[in-house]
Amino acid sequence: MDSSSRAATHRGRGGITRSRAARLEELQKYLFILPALALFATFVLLPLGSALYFSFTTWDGLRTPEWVGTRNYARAFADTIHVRSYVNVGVYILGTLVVEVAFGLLMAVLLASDRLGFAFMRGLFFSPMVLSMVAAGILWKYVYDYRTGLLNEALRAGGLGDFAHPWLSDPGTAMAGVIVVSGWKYAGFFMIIFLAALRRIPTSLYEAAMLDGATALQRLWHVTLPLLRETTIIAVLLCVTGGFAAFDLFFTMTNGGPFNATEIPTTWIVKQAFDRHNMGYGAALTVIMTVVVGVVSLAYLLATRRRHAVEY
Amino acid sequence: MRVNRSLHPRRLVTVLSAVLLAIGAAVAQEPVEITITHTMTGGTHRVAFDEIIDAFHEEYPNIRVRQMPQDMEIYQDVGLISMLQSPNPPDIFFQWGGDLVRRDAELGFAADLSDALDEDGWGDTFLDAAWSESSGTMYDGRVYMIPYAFDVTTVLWYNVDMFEEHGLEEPETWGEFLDIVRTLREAGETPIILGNQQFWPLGNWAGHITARVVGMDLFDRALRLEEPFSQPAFEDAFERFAELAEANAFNRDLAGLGASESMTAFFQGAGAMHPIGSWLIPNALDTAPDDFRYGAFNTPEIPGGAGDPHSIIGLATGFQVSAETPHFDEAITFLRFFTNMENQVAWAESGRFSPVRGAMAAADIDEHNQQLAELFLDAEEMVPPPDTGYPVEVADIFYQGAALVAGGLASPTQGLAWIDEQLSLLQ
Repeated sequence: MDSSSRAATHRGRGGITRSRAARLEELQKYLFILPALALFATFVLLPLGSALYFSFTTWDGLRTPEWVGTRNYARAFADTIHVRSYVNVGVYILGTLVVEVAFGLLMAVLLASDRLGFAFMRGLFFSPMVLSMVAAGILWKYVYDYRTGLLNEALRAGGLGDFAHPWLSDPGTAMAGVIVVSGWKYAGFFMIIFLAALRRIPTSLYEAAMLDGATALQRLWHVTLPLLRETTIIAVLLCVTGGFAAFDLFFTMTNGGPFNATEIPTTWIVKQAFDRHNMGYGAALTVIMTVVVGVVSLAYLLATRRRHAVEY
Repeated sequence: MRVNRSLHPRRLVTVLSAVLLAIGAAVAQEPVEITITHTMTGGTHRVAFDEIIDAFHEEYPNIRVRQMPQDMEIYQDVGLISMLQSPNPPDIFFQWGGDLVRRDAELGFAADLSDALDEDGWGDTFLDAAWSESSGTMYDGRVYMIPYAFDVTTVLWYNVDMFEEHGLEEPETWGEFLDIVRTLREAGETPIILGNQQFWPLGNWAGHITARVVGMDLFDRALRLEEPFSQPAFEDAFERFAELAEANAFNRDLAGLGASESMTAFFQGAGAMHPIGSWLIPNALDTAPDDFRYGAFNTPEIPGGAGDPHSIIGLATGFQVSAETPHFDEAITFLRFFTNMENQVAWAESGRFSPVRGAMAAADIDEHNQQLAELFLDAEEMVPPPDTGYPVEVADIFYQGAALVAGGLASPTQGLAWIDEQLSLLQ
C-alpha cells in the first residue's frame, strides 16, 4: 500500500479516528505532567494537607493526635506573643526595605560605573552574600558582644565607653541589631539585581535628558527610577516574603529574645512545635502564617499589576 | 574423573556441613551490639564514661557498646523523640528524671526496670534518695530509670578571690546575700553573672526561691495548674527577684547571654557569683584558668518562707532502657557494670555526684563535689526543677515571668499576672 492509499484509508475512518487521536493527545498531556504532579503532591500538597490536619489537633509528637477543632486558632489570636511576632516581623521588613532594597539601589546607582576599582567595590559589597546566614549570625553575635565585642571595644578604645551597650540583650536595640546584619548580608544581593536592570536602560534616554538640560538628580528621578519600577516591585516582593521566612539569623543571634523583642512568627512556631512539643499549635501557627504571606503577596501584586508596565 | 569424585553427594554434604558450622560458629562469636544515646559530648565525665566502656568491652567481649552522643539541646528538642519513634530505637537512652521519665513510661518507650533491680539486691546498692518520688526515677510505683548522677541545678558559685578582695563571706540569710550584692555593686563589680537567653538558668533558681517561700505543696499545685500564681505567697516570692533587680544584681547582658558563655565569663572573673548547677565542676576542670578559685553556697535562708530553708533544687539523671530492645539482658549487664562500685568511684572522681551508696565517700573527689554532697545531706527537701518536674511549656512561662521581674521590666504583680495570662491559653 502506497502512502496515498494509506492516507485515504485514514481519512476513510472519519471523525471517530480523529476524536480518539484527540483523546490520546489529551491523555498524553496528563501523562507528561504526571511525574511533576506526583512530586508536587508528595512534597508540597501532602505536607500542606497534613499541616492543616494537625492544626486542628493537639499533638506532642509522641501521643496520638487528638482532634480539638478550632481551639488552636482561637489560642493563636489570643496569644499576645504570637500577635506581637507579626508586629515585630513588620518592623523587621520595614527595616530591611531600607537597609537592603533602598541601600542596595543606592549602591547600584553609585557603583554602576566601569571606572577602575568600581568592580572591586561591587565585589566587596556583594561578598557577605557568600556567607551562610548562620555563620553571619554567629559572627555578628561576637561583634555585638557586650564585654569583648568589636563594636563595644571600638567604642571603649575611642573614649566612648559610656556608649558601650548590651546591644542584643536590650529589648530596645536587639531588633535594630538584627536588621543591620540583614542589611549587611543582603544589600549586595539587591545591588546586583538593580545593577542588571540599570544596564538595560538605553543610554540614549540619558543623552536625551542631558540635551534637555536635566541635572544628575533629575535624570535619576525622571529616567532611572521610573525604569527600575518593575525591578523594584520584584525586589520589594522578595524582601517582604523573605522577611516573613526569616529564621536562621534570629535563631542564631537572639532566638526571639530578649523578652520576645525579636520574636517573629517563625521563631515562635519553632519554639511551640519543638521546644514545647506543641506540634498541633505549631501547625496552626504555620497555617496562619501561610495565609498571611499569601494574602500580603497577592495584595501587593494586585496593587502593582496595572502600574508596572513601562514601555521604552 | 577427579571432577566426578569431588562432586560425590556424600563429600558435598560434608563440605556444606563444615561451611555451615563455620558460619554458625562465626555468628555465635559475633558480639551483640547495644546502642546508647546521651548528651555527653565532652568534658571529664565523657572521658570517664569512655574508659568505663573500654573496661566493659574487656570484661564482656561478646557485647559491644556503641555510643550515639548528641548536643544537649538537639537531644532535648527533637533528637530523642525522633529516635524513640524510629523502627530501631536506641537500647539505652539518657533522660532527666521527673516528667520525662513519667512520659516515657506512660507511652511505653521505656522498660520497667523494677524486677532487674530486685535481682541480687542491685537496687539496694543505690542511695535511698534514688528511689524517692522527688528523684523522678519512678512511675506508678515502678522504676523506669537507673540514675547515674544527682545534679544540683542551682547553687551560688562564687569567685573566692573577689570575695576575699571585698572582705565578703558566704551568706546565711537572704538579707546578708543582698548586702553582698550591694557591696559588690558599689565596688564596681558585677555581683551576679548569668546568661538567661533561654530562661532556664535564672528560671531554675527562681523555682528554688519560689518553692522556699511558698512551700513545696503550693509550688507543686501551681505548676500543675491547680492554683493561680497571682496570690500573696507568690508575690512574696517574686518580691525577692524585684529586690535583685533593684540592687542591680545582674550583668547588663543577662537577657541575651547564653548559659555556657556566662559560665566562661564567670571563670574569667567577669562577675562575682554565678547561680548554676553542679555541672560547673567538670567544666571548671576543663576550661577555667588554673589559678581560678571558687566556692559554692546554697540559696540562703529566706525568713518567713513556708518551704524547707535548706532545700536544694535538683534532680536525678540517668539511663532508661528501651521497651522494644531485643537486647534487654545485655543492656542490664552494661548498666550493672556501669553502676558497680569501682566504676562509680571513677565516675564520681570525674565530677559527677554518684547515686551509688558509698561511691562519693570512697572517691577522691575535690572540695567542690564534697561541698555539694554536704548540701544534699543537709537538705530535707529536693525541689524538682520546673522544666523537668513539670510540663515544659508551663515551666517556660514561669521562667519568663520570673525573668521579667528580675530584669526590672515588670513588678511582681505584673509578672505573676503575665504568667497566669499565658497559662490560661494552655487550658
